[in-house]
Amino acid sequence: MSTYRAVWSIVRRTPRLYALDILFQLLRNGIPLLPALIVREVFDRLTHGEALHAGFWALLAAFVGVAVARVAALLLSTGTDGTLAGAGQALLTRNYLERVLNQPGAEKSEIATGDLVGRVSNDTTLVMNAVVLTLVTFGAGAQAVLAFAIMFSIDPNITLIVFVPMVAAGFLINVTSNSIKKYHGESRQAAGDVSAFLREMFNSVQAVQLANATERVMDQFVRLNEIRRHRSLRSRLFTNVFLGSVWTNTAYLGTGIVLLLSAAKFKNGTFTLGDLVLFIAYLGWITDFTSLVSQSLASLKQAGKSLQRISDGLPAGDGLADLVTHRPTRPAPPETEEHCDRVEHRPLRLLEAQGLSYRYASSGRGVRDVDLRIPRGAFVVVTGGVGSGKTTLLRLVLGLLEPQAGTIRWNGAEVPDPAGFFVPPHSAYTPQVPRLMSATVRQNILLGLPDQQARMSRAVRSAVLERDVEVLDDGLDTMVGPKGAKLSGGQAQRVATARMFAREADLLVFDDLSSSLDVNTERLLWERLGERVDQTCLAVSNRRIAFERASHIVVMHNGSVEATGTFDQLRRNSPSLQRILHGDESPNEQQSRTT
Amino acid sequence: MLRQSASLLMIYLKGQWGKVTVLIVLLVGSISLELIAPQWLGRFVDDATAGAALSTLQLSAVVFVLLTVVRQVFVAVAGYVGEDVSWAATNRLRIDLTRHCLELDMSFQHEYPPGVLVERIDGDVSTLSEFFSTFVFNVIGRVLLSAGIIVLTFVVDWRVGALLLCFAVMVTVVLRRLQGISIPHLRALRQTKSDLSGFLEEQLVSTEDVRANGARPYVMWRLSRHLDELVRRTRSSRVASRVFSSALEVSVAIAGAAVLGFGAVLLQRGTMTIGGIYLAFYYTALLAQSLTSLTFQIDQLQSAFAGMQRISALYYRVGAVPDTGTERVADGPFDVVFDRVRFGYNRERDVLRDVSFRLPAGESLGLLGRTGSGKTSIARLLCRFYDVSGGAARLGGIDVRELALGPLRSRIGVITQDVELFHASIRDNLTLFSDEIADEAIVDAFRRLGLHEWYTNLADGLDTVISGDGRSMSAGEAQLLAFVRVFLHDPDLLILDEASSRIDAGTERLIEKAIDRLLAGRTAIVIAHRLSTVAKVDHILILQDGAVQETGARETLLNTTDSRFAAMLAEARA
Repeated sequence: MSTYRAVWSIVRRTPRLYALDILFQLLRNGIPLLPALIVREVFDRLTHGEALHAGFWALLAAFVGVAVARVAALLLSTGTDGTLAGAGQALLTRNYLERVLNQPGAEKSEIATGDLVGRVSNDTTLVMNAVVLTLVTFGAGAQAVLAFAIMFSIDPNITLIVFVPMVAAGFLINVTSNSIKKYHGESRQAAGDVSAFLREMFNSVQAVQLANATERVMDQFVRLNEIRRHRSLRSRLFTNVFLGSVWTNTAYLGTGIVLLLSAAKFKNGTFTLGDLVLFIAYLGWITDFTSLVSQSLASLKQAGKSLQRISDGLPAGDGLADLVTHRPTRPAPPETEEHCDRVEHRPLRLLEAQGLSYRYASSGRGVRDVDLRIPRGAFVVVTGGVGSGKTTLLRLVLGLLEPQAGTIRWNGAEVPDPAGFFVPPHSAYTPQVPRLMSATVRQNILLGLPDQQARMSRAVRSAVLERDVEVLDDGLDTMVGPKGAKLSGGQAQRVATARMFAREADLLVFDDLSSSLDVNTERLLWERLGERVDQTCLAVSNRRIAFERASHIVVMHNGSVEATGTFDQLRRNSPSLQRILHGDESPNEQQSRTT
Repeated sequence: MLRQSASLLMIYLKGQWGKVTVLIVLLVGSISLELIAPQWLGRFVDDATAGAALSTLQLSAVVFVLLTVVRQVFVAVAGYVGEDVSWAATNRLRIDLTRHCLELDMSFQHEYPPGVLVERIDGDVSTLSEFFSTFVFNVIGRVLLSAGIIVLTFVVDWRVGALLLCFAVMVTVVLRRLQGISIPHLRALRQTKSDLSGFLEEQLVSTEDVRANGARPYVMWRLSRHLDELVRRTRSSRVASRVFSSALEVSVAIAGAAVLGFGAVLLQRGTMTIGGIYLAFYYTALLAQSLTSLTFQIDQLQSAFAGMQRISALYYRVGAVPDTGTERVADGPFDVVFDRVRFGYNRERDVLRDVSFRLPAGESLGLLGRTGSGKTSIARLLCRFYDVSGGAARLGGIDVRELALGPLRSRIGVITQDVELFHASIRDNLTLFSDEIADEAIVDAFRRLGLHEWYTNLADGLDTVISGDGRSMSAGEAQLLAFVRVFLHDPDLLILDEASSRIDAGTERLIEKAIDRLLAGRTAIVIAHRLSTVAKVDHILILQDGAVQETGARETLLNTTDSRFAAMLAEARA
């Protein structure tokens, strides 16, 4: 999709706003042509030595009145510009996040999160600035055409000749446009590297401080900054210095041509002083327009780069088209009927997976040909060593990753769109490293669910969070801080667990739920999970306490199922499970010994 | 505040005075040319109306064009030099600011999340850089040009000169009045943008949580509230930054009309030529243009000031943990003493209340307690990420506040459950960009941790690049990297804060031998929620709600039947 079509799609989302903006642009640019006509009249009257009667003073009064009108138009058009710039940015941002949320587990490109955020916030600003600049240029264009018509009616010959250097300059600029694009891209890339590294530095403050690594990390940062400086300078050399000089000189050349050509005409009286004044004034306006054209062409090209950068940050698909053509619906406020993800509830009887396979392109790891069978009420535990594919398996079942092979069946029927299907009330999930958002504990648990007392207290109890709620400064209404930083690791994990319970789903999926809990809390958690009648669970865990409660255990090794069965069976038959339980030697150690 | 900002500016122009001088020469040259050129235009008009020879008229025209072209060359070169100076200056500022923020304590880091710091250091400093690069030309240059115009109109006719002077004075008085009008709007816009960035950053890492719990509509709803705010702020800041230039435009029209009217009267009296009127009118337009471009700069100046204020707030921010200590702990293992330590993250609630214990040099302490009971806070106080609010923490008999911060931290190794990774090679992630650690040492550490197999599977060995958000490896693998990191660091005090929580029991046992080796001869604090993790420590301390519930030698507690520790062990076995 070309930049122009992308921009056109953005315009078509709010056509009325753009129509209004164009109207204001025309007023804002049309009115300034009047003063030069007035001044022309003034100078012609002065040249003829006319007496200064009322008509002359009225001209001067009109001169001031026109300025007031122009300012009014300017403010109106600026306001509209701001509205549509913000609206366009909102459109891009909203579509971006929606796309990312639709493919949550997709293998991300190598782009760091900080860079992605920079792209969504800065590049969308650049795109919309280019759009606004184009609108302004359009207004200035209308103004230039009018000015040209007026000049042409005064003296066609001079008018035509004056435009020759402008056409030449336009040609020159088109020739150089590819270099502009390239240099701009490089400088934005360097800027992305700087802000991504900056973000990682501040995300790693503790490690850096403890290792006294500040200076070394700073060296790296200095190097990235230097690269950015060089690239930005080169990019600016082309856009501002080179292009700027070409245009400005063209304008002055035009003025010089008017002077030279009009010199002879002055003598025979076919060109007046008033005409000269008007020509020089309008040339200024037209130059403004031509330099605007070059600016907006350049910024549209840069906008193309920016759009590309934003869509590069999306999971695979027709990125750019998705960003601009989709019309996002306004989300309903929380706690309303329309608010939650709607999916027709088919109560779980049996969940099956057959031949699930997925291989990460980056690491070559993944899972191979995994079968699972989870009847209603079952408690299936997946276990295995580091990197054995436990988490990948959960992601595949939930549709967070699209399987490269295999099927998932719910009550015997194949699930065509697992990502859309595996949401409450069918399932709810707590990842291994759960993430909270800057909001209250309550908001983090509900995430838009209706705030019902009974549901909340059930969820809090199941997650063994009740004592924490008591000691937190504002109970459930305590702000958790960015990424949940104000909570301890275990508290954060249990808030995420309560979030899962609050959804009251048929199937609960959780990854290493008790990893940061103390012994008592962990025991309570499993006990209370057991109290939930008819609850189906799929869990990753390497804890004996989980095995004891499991109705079925799946032992993973190197991405494949190594053994399945009940705890009693596996305790006797599976060396892997014995190792996990008693740890005489781990799979890793065994491998290193055989090699 | 203004003085702070100004002194900040001077600090960062230092060392660039050569380029600044070139800039000034080009500036003065271009202004002179811009002032002289219109004189030839006036001469042209007078000659034309007087019916002079064609060659005289053509000469004036050619000279006018030449002067303007040369001037533009000056402007272009100066633009480049200005940009160069500004990048050099702001890069240095960025770097100093980053170093400063990196060194500040943890209460600062919690107050300013990474997203906000990036917005300050990258966003605000960039605004400042744009301002730097155009400041000389469009502010100082325009001021000089305006002054030149007024002087030259005085030469044409003193009354017209006086008129323009009045105009300029009026504008600059109005100008100062309206200077601040857009600052709050711009500040609000920037705040909105940084809130949005923070929100997006959170969302991009929690997509799985959101998607699989059906919370997309909620997230989209929160986003739309941020976006509504963005639209509103974008509009108001754009309009607010135009209010002033609009007022200026009207006053320019009044001045133009006045010059024409006044000139007409003088023309009738015969004290002024028509070329003189044209020159005065041209200068009025030029003055207006110059003042307008000055006001555009004022807009930038305003947003740069807003940024500058935030930057100097960061720059002059004093950490809550001042690095004023000079003492050093003697080489070798040292003991750890908590002497009636009181501590809270805010004034309202203490996280630690009267905590006292002594851990002899070279011995190990297991810290137990519910989550939120204050275990991690003890570790943070030892590293001096925070300072105690009462009592004292002592290492080797010296209060941590009297120790120099750098050497103190270089003696401590910490492994927590959250591993902080860079988008960089495995080597850089382990050494934190130090090239003093040989590859052999790193490989040896892998071998000693029993991770050699894992290491040989890496696509490019130590050069394998991993992503900063940890997506390219599992949480357990990331934690193994943290172990290697500390191995290489070789600290005297080791703090393991739930360090093996994400490593499965098999692997944990595997590295236990390595941990044993690491613990030998070192003082160690092991924070754990699993009793197996503290099976080998010498002492036990159990915390409850920030107070010591029980402490003593592990063996003793184990054999005391009514001890809390024995009870916990019994519970775990049950």
